[in-house]
Amino acid sequence: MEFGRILNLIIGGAICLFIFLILEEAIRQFFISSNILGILIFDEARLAYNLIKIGCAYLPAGFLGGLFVGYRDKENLKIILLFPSIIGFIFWAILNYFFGYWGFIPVDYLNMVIMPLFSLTAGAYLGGYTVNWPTERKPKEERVSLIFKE
Amino acid sequence: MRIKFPRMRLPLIIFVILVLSLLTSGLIIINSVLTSNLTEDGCIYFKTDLIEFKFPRNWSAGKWKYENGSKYLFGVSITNIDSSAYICLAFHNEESTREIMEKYNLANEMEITLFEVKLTYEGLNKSSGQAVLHFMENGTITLSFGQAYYRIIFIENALKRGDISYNFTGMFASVLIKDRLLEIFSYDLKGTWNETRRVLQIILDSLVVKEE
Repeated sequence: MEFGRILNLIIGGAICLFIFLILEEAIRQFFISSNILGILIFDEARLAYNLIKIGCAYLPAGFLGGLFVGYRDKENLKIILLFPSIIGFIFWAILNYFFGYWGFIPVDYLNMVIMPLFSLTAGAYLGGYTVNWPTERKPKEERVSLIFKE
Repeated sequence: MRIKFPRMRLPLIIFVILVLSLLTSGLIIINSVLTSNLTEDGCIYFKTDLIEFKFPRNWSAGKWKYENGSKYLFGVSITNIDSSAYICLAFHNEESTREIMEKYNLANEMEITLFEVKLTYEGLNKSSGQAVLHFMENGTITLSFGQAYYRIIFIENALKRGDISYNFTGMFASVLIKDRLLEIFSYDLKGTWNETRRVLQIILDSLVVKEE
Protein backbone atom coordinates (compact mmCIF):
# COMPACT_ATOMS: atom_id res chain seq x y z
CA MET A 1 0.00 0.00 0.00
CA GLU A 2 1.27 3.46 -0.85
CA PHE A 3 2.36 5.84 1.89
CA GLY A 4 -0.13 8.49 0.72
CA ARG A 5 -3.07 6.11 1.12
CA ILE A 6 -1.94 5.04 4.59
CA LEU A 7 -1.57 8.70 5.57
CA ASN A 8 -5.13 9.37 4.35
CA LEU A 9 -6.43 6.54 6.51
CA ILE A 10 -4.56 7.83 9.56
CA ILE A 11 -5.90 11.36 8.99
CA GLY A 12 -9.39 9.86 8.58
CA GLY A 13 -8.96 8.03 11.90
CA ALA A 14 -7.77 11.22 13.60
CA ILE A 15 -10.81 13.09 12.24
CA CYS A 16 -13.03 10.31 13.68
CA LEU A 17 -11.35 10.65 17.06
CA PHE A 18 -11.41 14.45 17.34
CA ILE A 19 -14.97 14.87 16.10
CA PHE A 20 -16.06 12.10 18.45
CA LEU A 21 -14.32 13.69 21.47
CA ILE A 22 -15.86 17.11 20.73
CA LEU A 23 -19.38 15.73 20.18
CA GLU A 24 -19.26 13.42 23.22
CA GLU A 25 -18.25 16.37 25.43
CA ALA A 26 -21.02 18.48 23.84
CA ILE A 27 -23.60 15.81 24.76
CA ARG A 28 -22.25 15.64 28.32
CA GLN A 29 -22.40 19.44 28.61
CA PHE A 30 -25.99 19.35 27.35
CA PHE A 31 -26.91 16.94 30.17
CA ILE A 32 -25.05 19.07 32.73
CA SER A 33 -26.57 22.37 31.61
CA SER A 34 -30.05 20.82 31.47
CA ASN A 35 -29.64 19.61 35.08
CA ILE A 36 -30.47 16.04 34.14
CA LEU A 37 -27.20 14.28 34.87
CA GLY A 38 -28.74 12.40 37.80
CA ILE A 39 -31.30 10.72 35.55
CA LEU A 40 -28.52 8.45 34.25
CA ILE A 41 -28.89 6.30 37.37
CA PHE A 42 -31.85 4.63 35.62
CA ASP A 43 -31.11 1.88 33.10
CA GLU A 44 -33.66 3.25 30.61
CA ALA A 45 -32.04 6.69 30.73
CA ARG A 46 -28.60 5.19 30.26
CA LEU A 47 -29.90 3.35 27.18
CA ALA A 48 -31.32 6.63 25.87
CA TYR A 49 -27.97 8.35 26.55
CA ASN A 50 -26.23 5.65 24.53
CA LEU A 51 -28.72 6.09 21.66
CA ILE A 52 -28.03 9.84 21.64
CA LYS A 53 -24.31 9.14 21.74
CA ILE A 54 -24.56 6.78 18.75
CA GLY A 55 -26.66 9.24 16.77
CA CYS A 56 -24.89 12.46 17.65
CA ALA A 57 -21.28 11.44 18.34
CA TYR A 58 -20.26 8.06 16.89
CA LEU A 59 -22.14 8.19 13.57
CA PRO A 60 -21.20 11.81 12.67
CA ALA A 61 -17.57 11.22 13.71
CA GLY A 62 -17.36 8.11 11.53
CA PHE A 63 -19.24 9.90 8.74
CA LEU A 64 -16.75 12.79 8.59
CA GLY A 65 -13.76 10.42 8.79
CA GLY A 66 -15.27 8.35 5.97
CA LEU A 67 -16.08 11.48 3.98
CA PHE A 68 -12.42 12.50 4.06
CA VAL A 69 -11.12 9.06 3.12
CA GLY A 70 -13.75 8.63 0.41
CA TYR A 71 -12.90 12.02 -1.06
CA ARG A 72 -9.16 11.34 -1.16
CA ASP A 73 -9.30 7.72 -2.22
CA LYS A 74 -11.73 6.31 -4.76
CA GLU A 75 -10.55 2.70 -5.03
CA ASN A 76 -11.50 -0.34 -2.95
CA LEU A 77 -13.94 1.65 -0.83
CA LYS A 78 -15.40 -1.54 0.68
CA ILE A 79 -12.09 -2.32 2.34
CA ILE A 80 -10.47 1.06 3.02
CA LEU A 81 -13.54 2.52 4.74
CA LEU A 82 -13.08 -0.04 7.50
CA PHE A 83 -9.83 1.59 8.59
CA PRO A 84 -10.68 5.17 9.69
CA SER A 85 -13.09 3.84 12.31
CA ILE A 86 -10.67 1.15 13.50
CA ILE A 87 -7.77 3.63 13.68
CA GLY A 88 -9.96 6.23 15.43
CA PHE A 89 -11.17 3.62 17.91
CA ILE A 90 -7.61 2.44 18.65
CA PHE A 91 -6.50 6.07 19.29
CA TRP A 92 -9.53 6.53 21.55
CA ALA A 93 -8.86 3.30 23.47
CA ILE A 94 -5.21 4.32 24.01
CA LEU A 95 -6.27 7.78 25.25
CA ASN A 96 -8.80 6.22 27.61
CA TYR A 97 -6.33 3.69 28.93
CA PHE A 98 -3.62 6.22 29.76
CA PHE A 99 -5.65 9.34 30.63
CA GLY A 100 -9.12 7.96 31.36
CA TYR A 101 -10.58 5.26 33.54
CA TRP A 102 -10.14 2.17 31.35
CA GLY A 103 -7.32 0.84 33.49
CA PHE A 104 -9.44 0.89 36.65
CA ILE A 105 -12.80 -0.55 35.72
CA PRO A 106 -13.77 -3.87 34.14
CA VAL A 107 -14.28 -3.52 30.39
CA ASP A 108 -17.91 -3.42 29.33
CA TYR A 109 -17.48 -4.90 25.86
CA LEU A 110 -20.90 -3.90 24.54
CA ASN A 111 -20.79 -0.21 25.49
CA MET A 112 -17.06 0.38 25.34
CA VAL A 113 -15.98 -1.71 22.34
CA ILE A 114 -18.74 -3.13 20.14
CA MET A 115 -21.10 -0.13 20.12
CA PRO A 116 -18.49 2.57 19.32
CA LEU A 117 -16.65 0.45 16.77
CA PHE A 118 -19.80 -0.63 14.96
CA SER A 119 -21.31 2.87 14.90
CA LEU A 120 -18.07 4.53 13.78
CA THR A 121 -17.73 1.96 10.99
CA ALA A 122 -21.33 2.45 9.85
CA GLY A 123 -20.77 6.21 9.85
CA ALA A 124 -17.52 5.84 7.88
CA TYR A 125 -19.21 3.74 5.19
CA LEU A 126 -22.08 6.22 4.89
CA GLY A 127 -19.61 9.10 4.64
CA GLY A 128 -17.33 7.35 2.15
CA TYR A 129 -20.18 6.34 -0.13
CA THR A 130 -21.84 9.76 0.08
CA VAL A 131 -18.85 11.26 -1.77
CA ASN A 132 -18.65 8.43 -4.28
CA TRP A 133 -22.33 7.79 -4.86
CA PRO A 134 -23.05 7.62 -8.59
CA THR A 135 -25.42 10.39 -9.62
CA GLU A 136 -27.22 10.55 -12.89
CA ARG A 137 -26.97 13.76 -14.86
CA LYS A 138 -29.83 14.78 -17.04
CA PRO A 139 -28.84 15.80 -20.55
CA LYS A 140 -29.37 19.49 -21.17
CA GLU A 141 -32.72 20.29 -22.61
CA GLU A 142 -32.66 21.60 -26.12
CA ARG A 143 -35.33 23.80 -27.50
CA VAL A 144 -36.38 23.21 -31.01
CA SER A 145 -38.66 25.72 -32.59
CA LEU A 146 -40.51 24.90 -35.67
CA ILE A 147 -41.65 27.57 -38.02
CA PHE A 148 -44.33 26.64 -40.39
CA LYS A 149 -44.49 28.58 -43.56
CA GLU A 150 -47.75 28.93 -45.29
CA MET B 1 -45.37 26.72 -8.23
CA ARG B 2 -43.23 23.61 -7.82
CA ILE B 3 -40.94 23.38 -4.81
CA LYS B 4 -37.56 21.96 -5.69
CA PHE B 5 -35.81 19.90 -3.03
CA PRO B 6 -32.03 19.63 -3.30
CA ARG B 7 -31.15 16.19 -4.58
CA MET B 8 -29.47 14.18 -1.80
CA ARG B 9 -27.43 11.06 -2.16
CA LEU B 10 -28.81 7.86 -0.64
CA PRO B 11 -26.07 7.32 2.03
CA LEU B 12 -26.51 10.91 3.18
CA ILE B 13 -30.28 10.42 3.43
CA ILE B 14 -29.73 7.23 5.51
CA PHE B 15 -27.25 9.10 7.73
CA VAL B 16 -29.62 12.02 8.36
CA ILE B 17 -32.55 9.68 9.08
CA LEU B 18 -30.43 7.60 11.49
CA VAL B 19 -29.14 10.65 13.38
CA LEU B 20 -32.59 12.24 13.69
CA SER B 21 -34.33 9.02 14.74
CA LEU B 22 -31.69 8.09 17.35
CA LEU B 23 -31.66 11.61 18.79
CA THR B 24 -35.46 11.84 18.91
CA SER B 25 -35.96 8.42 20.50
CA GLY B 26 -33.22 9.13 23.07
CA LEU B 27 -34.75 12.46 24.05
CA ILE B 28 -38.25 10.95 24.29
CA ILE B 29 -37.01 8.19 26.63
CA ILE B 30 -35.04 10.70 28.77
CA ASN B 31 -38.09 12.93 29.03
CA SER B 32 -40.41 10.10 30.04
CA VAL B 33 -37.95 8.76 32.66
CA LEU B 34 -37.46 12.26 34.03
CA THR B 35 -41.15 13.10 34.31
CA SER B 36 -41.98 9.79 35.96
CA ASN B 37 -39.22 10.06 38.59
CA LEU B 38 -39.18 13.76 39.40
CA THR B 39 -40.39 14.92 42.81
CA GLU B 40 -42.22 18.19 43.50
CA ASP B 41 -39.06 19.85 44.82
CA GLY B 42 -37.12 19.06 41.64
CA CYS B 43 -35.18 16.04 42.94
CA ILE B 44 -34.95 12.61 41.36
CA TYR B 45 -36.64 9.78 43.25
CA PHE B 46 -34.65 6.57 42.90
CA LYS B 47 -36.26 3.25 43.77
CA THR B 48 -34.87 -0.30 43.81
CA ASP B 49 -35.87 -3.58 45.47
CA LEU B 50 -33.63 -2.70 48.44
CA ILE B 51 -33.65 1.04 48.99
CA GLU B 52 -35.30 4.23 47.82
CA PHE B 53 -34.35 7.87 48.26
CA LYS B 54 -34.25 11.19 46.47
CA PHE B 55 -31.30 13.28 45.38
CA PRO B 56 -30.70 16.53 43.40
CA ARG B 57 -31.07 16.07 39.66
CA ASN B 58 -27.87 17.96 38.82
CA TRP B 59 -25.68 15.46 40.71
CA SER B 60 -24.23 12.62 38.69
CA ALA B 61 -25.32 9.19 39.92
CA GLY B 62 -24.58 5.56 39.26
CA LYS B 63 -25.32 2.18 40.78
CA TRP B 64 -23.24 -0.96 41.07
CA LYS B 65 -23.49 -4.47 42.47
CA TYR B 66 -20.80 -6.95 43.48
CA GLU B 67 -21.96 -10.54 43.83
CA ASN B 68 -19.96 -13.47 45.11
CA GLY B 69 -21.97 -16.61 45.72
CA SER B 70 -24.70 -15.76 48.21
CA LYS B 71 -22.97 -12.52 49.26
CA TYR B 72 -23.71 -9.25 47.57
CA LEU B 73 -23.00 -5.58 47.97
CA PHE B 74 -25.29 -3.06 46.30
CA GLY B 75 -24.07 0.51 46.03
CA VAL B 76 -25.20 3.89 44.78
CA SER B 77 -22.69 6.68 44.14
CA ILE B 78 -23.74 10.29 43.81
CA THR B 79 -21.19 12.87 42.72
CA ASN B 80 -21.18 16.62 42.30
CA ILE B 81 -18.93 17.17 39.31
CA ASP B 82 -18.38 20.86 40.14
CA SER B 83 -17.07 20.44 43.66
CA SER B 84 -15.64 16.88 43.77
CA ALA B 85 -18.16 16.04 46.47
CA TYR B 86 -19.14 12.38 46.72
CA ILE B 87 -21.85 10.45 48.53
CA CYS B 88 -22.06 6.68 48.56
CA LEU B 89 -24.61 4.28 49.99
CA ALA B 90 -23.40 0.68 50.24
CA PHE B 91 -25.86 -1.99 51.23
CA HIS B 92 -24.59 -5.45 52.29
CA ASN B 93 -26.82 -8.48 52.55
CA GLU B 94 -26.70 -10.76 55.65
CA GLU B 95 -23.89 -13.01 54.37
CA SER B 96 -21.74 -10.11 53.29
CA THR B 97 -22.32 -8.28 56.61
CA ARG B 98 -21.42 -11.41 58.60
CA GLU B 99 -18.25 -11.92 56.57
CA ILE B 100 -17.05 -8.33 57.09
CA MET B 101 -17.77 -8.34 60.81
CA GLU B 102 -16.06 -11.70 61.36
CA LYS B 103 -13.10 -10.98 59.09
CA TYR B 104 -12.23 -7.66 60.73
CA ASN B 105 -13.54 -8.55 64.19
CA LEU B 106 -16.13 -5.79 64.32
CA ALA B 107 -18.98 -5.90 66.87
CA ASN B 108 -21.20 -2.91 66.20
CA GLU B 109 -21.82 0.20 64.06
CA MET B 110 -19.35 2.31 66.07
CA GLU B 111 -16.50 -0.12 65.35
CA ILE B 112 -17.48 -0.42 61.69
CA THR B 113 -17.38 3.37 61.29
CA LEU B 114 -14.02 3.63 63.04
CA PHE B 115 -12.65 0.83 60.86
CA GLU B 116 -13.73 2.68 57.69
CA VAL B 117 -12.19 5.95 58.95
CA LYS B 118 -8.90 4.16 59.64
CA LEU B 119 -8.94 2.51 56.23
CA THR B 120 -9.59 5.81 54.44
CA TYR B 121 -6.92 7.69 56.41
CA GLU B 122 -4.30 5.00 55.79
CA GLY B 123 -5.12 4.96 52.07
CA LEU B 124 -4.82 8.74 51.76
CA ASN B 125 -1.69 8.95 53.89
CA LYS B 126 -0.02 6.31 51.74
CA SER B 127 -0.31 8.56 48.67
CA SER B 128 0.22 12.02 50.19
CA GLY B 129 2.56 11.09 53.07
CA GLN B 130 1.60 14.20 55.06
CA ALA B 131 -2.02 13.53 55.98
CA VAL B 132 -3.16 14.57 59.48
CA LEU B 133 -6.43 13.17 60.82
CA HIS B 134 -8.79 15.23 63.02
CA PHE B 135 -12.01 13.83 64.51
CA MET B 136 -14.63 16.58 64.26
CA GLU B 137 -17.92 15.15 65.43
CA ASN B 138 -19.64 11.87 66.23
CA GLY B 139 -23.08 10.75 67.32
CA THR B 140 -26.25 9.14 66.04
CA ILE B 141 -28.70 10.12 63.31
CA THR B 142 -32.31 8.97 63.46
CA LEU B 143 -33.43 7.46 60.18
CA SER B 144 -36.85 6.09 59.23
CA PHE B 145 -35.65 2.50 59.82
CA GLY B 146 -33.24 2.84 62.74
CA GLN B 147 -30.41 4.79 64.27
CA ALA B 148 -27.13 5.19 62.40
CA TYR B 149 -23.84 5.90 64.12
CA TYR B 150 -21.76 8.56 62.36
CA ARG B 151 -18.36 10.16 62.56
CA ILE B 152 -17.20 13.33 60.79
CA ILE B 153 -13.50 13.66 60.15
CA PHE B 154 -11.16 16.22 58.65
CA ILE B 155 -7.91 15.13 57.01
CA GLU B 156 -5.36 17.85 56.35
CA ASN B 157 -3.21 17.44 53.21
CA ALA B 158 -5.18 14.37 52.23
CA LEU B 159 -4.45 14.50 48.51
CA LYS B 160 -1.74 16.06 46.41
CA ARG B 161 -2.22 16.79 42.73
CA GLY B 162 0.77 18.64 41.38
CA ASP B 163 1.54 21.50 43.75
CA ILE B 164 -2.01 21.72 45.10
CA SER B 165 -2.92 19.79 48.22
CA TYR B 166 -6.53 19.10 49.15
CA ASN B 167 -8.14 18.75 52.55
CA PHE B 168 -10.69 16.00 53.02
CA THR B 169 -13.88 16.46 55.02
CA GLY B 170 -15.92 13.32 55.28
CA MET B 171 -18.71 11.58 57.10
CA PHE B 172 -18.87 7.85 57.74
CA ALA B 173 -22.11 6.36 59.02
CA SER B 174 -23.33 2.82 59.41
CA VAL B 175 -26.49 1.14 60.54
CA LEU B 176 -27.42 -2.51 61.01
CA ILE B 177 -30.94 -3.36 59.86
CA LYS B 178 -31.80 -6.95 60.82
CA ASP B 179 -28.21 -8.16 60.26
CA ARG B 180 -27.92 -6.22 57.00
CA LEU B 181 -25.37 -3.44 56.97
CA LEU B 182 -25.93 -0.08 55.34
CA GLU B 183 -22.84 2.12 55.09
CA ILE B 184 -23.11 5.78 54.22
CA PHE B 185 -19.97 7.54 53.18
CA SER B 186 -19.55 11.08 51.93
CA TYR B 187 -16.64 13.43 51.39
CA ASP B 188 -15.70 16.76 49.98
CA LEU B 189 -12.32 17.99 48.74
CA LYS B 190 -12.96 21.60 47.76
CA GLY B 191 -14.25 23.15 50.96
CA THR B 192 -17.94 22.88 50.12
CA TRP B 193 -18.78 20.50 52.96
CA ASN B 194 -21.88 22.47 54.04
CA GLU B 195 -23.44 22.00 50.61
CA THR B 196 -22.47 18.30 50.58
CA ARG B 197 -23.99 17.86 54.03
CA ARG B 198 -27.21 19.56 52.91
CA VAL B 199 -27.54 17.11 50.01
CA LEU B 200 -26.67 14.21 52.31
CA GLN B 201 -29.46 15.35 54.63
CA ILE B 202 -31.95 15.32 51.71
CA ILE B 203 -30.91 11.74 50.93
CA LEU B 204 -31.04 10.58 54.55
CA ASP B 205 -34.44 12.21 55.19
CA SER B 206 -35.97 10.40 52.23
CA LEU B 207 -34.06 7.11 52.63
CA VAL B 208 -36.22 4.00 52.95
CA VAL B 209 -34.79 0.49 53.37
CA LYS B 210 -37.14 -2.23 52.23
CA GLU B 211 -37.79 -5.51 54.00
CA GLU B 212 -36.20 -8.54 52.34
